[in-house]
Amino acid sequence: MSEAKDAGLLSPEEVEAGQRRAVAILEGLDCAILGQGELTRLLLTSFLARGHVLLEGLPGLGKTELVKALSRLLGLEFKRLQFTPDLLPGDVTGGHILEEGGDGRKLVFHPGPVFTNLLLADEINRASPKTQSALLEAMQERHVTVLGETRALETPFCVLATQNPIELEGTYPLPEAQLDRFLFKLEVAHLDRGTVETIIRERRGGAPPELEVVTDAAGLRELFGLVDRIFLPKAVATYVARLVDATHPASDLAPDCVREYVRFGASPRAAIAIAEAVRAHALLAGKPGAGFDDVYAVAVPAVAHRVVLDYRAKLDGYDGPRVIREVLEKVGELDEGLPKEVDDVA
Amino acid sequence: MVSRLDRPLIRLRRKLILAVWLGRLARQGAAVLVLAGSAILLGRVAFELELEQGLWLLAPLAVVPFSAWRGVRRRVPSRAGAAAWLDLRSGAQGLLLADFERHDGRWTGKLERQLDRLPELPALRLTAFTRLLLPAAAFCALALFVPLSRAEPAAPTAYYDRAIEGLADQLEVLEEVAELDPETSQELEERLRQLAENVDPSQPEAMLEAIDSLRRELGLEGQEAAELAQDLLERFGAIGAEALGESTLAQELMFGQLNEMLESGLMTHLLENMDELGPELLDLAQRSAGEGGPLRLPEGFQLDPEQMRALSRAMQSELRHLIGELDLAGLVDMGELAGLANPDALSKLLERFHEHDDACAASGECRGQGAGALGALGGLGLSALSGLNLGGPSREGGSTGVQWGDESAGDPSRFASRLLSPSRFADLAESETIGLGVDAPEVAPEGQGAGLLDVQGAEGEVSWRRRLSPRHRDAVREFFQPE
Repeated sequence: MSEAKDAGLLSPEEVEAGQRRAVAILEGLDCAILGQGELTRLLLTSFLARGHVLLEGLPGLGKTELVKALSRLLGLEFKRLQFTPDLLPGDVTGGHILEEGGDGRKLVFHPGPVFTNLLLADEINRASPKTQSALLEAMQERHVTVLGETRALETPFCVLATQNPIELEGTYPLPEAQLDRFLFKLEVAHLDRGTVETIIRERRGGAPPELEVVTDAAGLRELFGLVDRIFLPKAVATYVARLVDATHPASDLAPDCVREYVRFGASPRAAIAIAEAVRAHALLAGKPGAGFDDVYAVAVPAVAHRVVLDYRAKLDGYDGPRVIREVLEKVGELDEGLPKEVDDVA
Repeated sequence: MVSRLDRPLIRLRRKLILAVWLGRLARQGAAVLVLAGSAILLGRVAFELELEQGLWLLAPLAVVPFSAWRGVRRRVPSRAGAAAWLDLRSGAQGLLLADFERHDGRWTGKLERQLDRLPELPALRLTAFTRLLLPAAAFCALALFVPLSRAEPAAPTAYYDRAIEGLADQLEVLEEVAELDPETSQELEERLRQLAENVDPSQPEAMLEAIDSLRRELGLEGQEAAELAQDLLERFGAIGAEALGESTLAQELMFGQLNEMLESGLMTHLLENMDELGPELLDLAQRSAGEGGPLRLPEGFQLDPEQMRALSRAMQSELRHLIGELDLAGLVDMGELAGLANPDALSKLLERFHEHDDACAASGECRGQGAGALGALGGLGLSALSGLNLGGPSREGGSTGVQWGDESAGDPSRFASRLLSPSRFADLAESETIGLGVDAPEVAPEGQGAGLLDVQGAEGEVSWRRRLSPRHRDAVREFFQPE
């Protein structure tokens, strides 16, 4: 990372190449999943930022297809794990199985589904907290330790977990500390009529079109390298820090909704998440450095699930995204505002 | 390597610096103007500060530009802040920021395209500056140039006017009632006119001196007229009383008095409308008044006693009215005037005198008193009759009973005033007039001779002990002995 810091800006050609490749992936995703342009953009952003994503949406909105499409486009391995209440941690991480072979019996480690590039953890809130924590540990550490033996996970490794906002009986909502592991929490919105019509006209059985691999592993590594070298200006970093600070009720920057409805603000991990996400977003936009607009684009999905709200928030119709949107409105981008003797050009 | 971003950054910061400096200049300048204006106003009101002196109080304005410059740069965003503003407002989406912090010539093309889309620099809030400065400057200018009307003490012309008006009223009364001689009247009128025309409040001493002088003159004239009227009052009173007896003498006295009035021209106007004179005498008096007297009576003209008395009373009434007018006009010091004789009491006294004289003449017991009472009166002068109505110690014998009257209506601790009975005439023959006055006679304890035993003086009071004569001792004993 420090090498990237001292390397200067990416050249326009590098940025252009990276953007082209990223846009190709994005176009493939948009082709696979109709009517979810914002979702696909943010999903790709998160992936390029090497983050994990929590998708929340009703069944049948294409969450699984989305992940599949991503894996196909990137040429990555994809596994899907359906979380159920009886799922065990070993079912996630893998475990040792006693096998008999020519050498006799021995314990052989059978890797779990977590050993993949893209893991779709379906309905993660259905598994027990113990099982959840096994996955979340792998997400954070990017390795698995079983019987004292640590095994690194694949690179890249990205978990796309899903949650069903309904049918919450018998579920184990992810605690805030574990929600913090996800770079983004994206809401899969309901499709509009037009999109539904297009789906049923163009896709028999809703099957997505065949997708070709857009980039290989080397290309992907290059993409990651480019993202790492995207420049984060000091003013943008200051803005990110001010935004995260403003989510705390005691902050002087906190707007009224934060003071009233937020119990605990976002941790520094949120700021790190935004910082990583804006780089990826800037590359997608073909810029050598992140800007304030990139922060606008990623702040809500990056921070909304990290603030702990008061019980009154739900009664008054406030959720995480609404609070963060108000924070974005109220907190100015510039740390050094213009003096009052001039009229600022809005 | 110099970035093309430097120039817009410099222009932006310069404008911001200028704006901040102007803002501070306006605020500090307004404060100095208000303070200076207040000081100027205070100086002009309290210390009669002149314009040139007031302008010096604006001297701190010269320092304001320098003091306003202090700390300007701290309030202006840094170059990084300025670059952030330019990036944000131009929609560069981080390109300008990236170039600012990590200038890379490879991005110059795109940078230049972005720099072409830079927004206009922020506008100065000139309205805010002027909104601060203009009222302050206006206040300062008002403090300097608006003429102050000093609160001069109100000229006492009203006082002088009232005083002169009062003097004019007094003069009018004098001229009407007392008949000033023309020269004196003209002189007083001239002096009053000059005084009225030359009222000068800036010289109060001269004005008050002139007013007091004229007031004294008028007062002297009025006092003189009142004393003359009083003298006439007494004489007419005596004439009226005399009319009871020898009407011939009374008539002589009456006509003598009238002639005197006519010839001297004093108060002749009293005679002009005196219906009591009768038509014939009135006509005579009016013609004589026009000629300046004397009154030429027709052969054998006489007034009977009733006519005499009526005429006397009428004259006295007029004279009392005249004195009253002078008193109302403030031209008489009644305390200085000898006590006015109550013509009724005077008449009654003279009646008693006549009775006494008749009794003496009939009995032959009054030695040397023939027309003794009246003669004594004539010797004393009629003015000696003044004050006899005001009570005084009785000269009757020691056995005279003490008479107690009712309590005074106004003060229950004092007795109501009573007219004491006149003393016996025998006392008059043996008495010695030691003085005439309205008040009770003052007795000097030292004059008591061997009878004085002790004198003690206290605050406002003097008491003395004296040896009582036997007859007085008996009176006191009888007084204090319970019945």
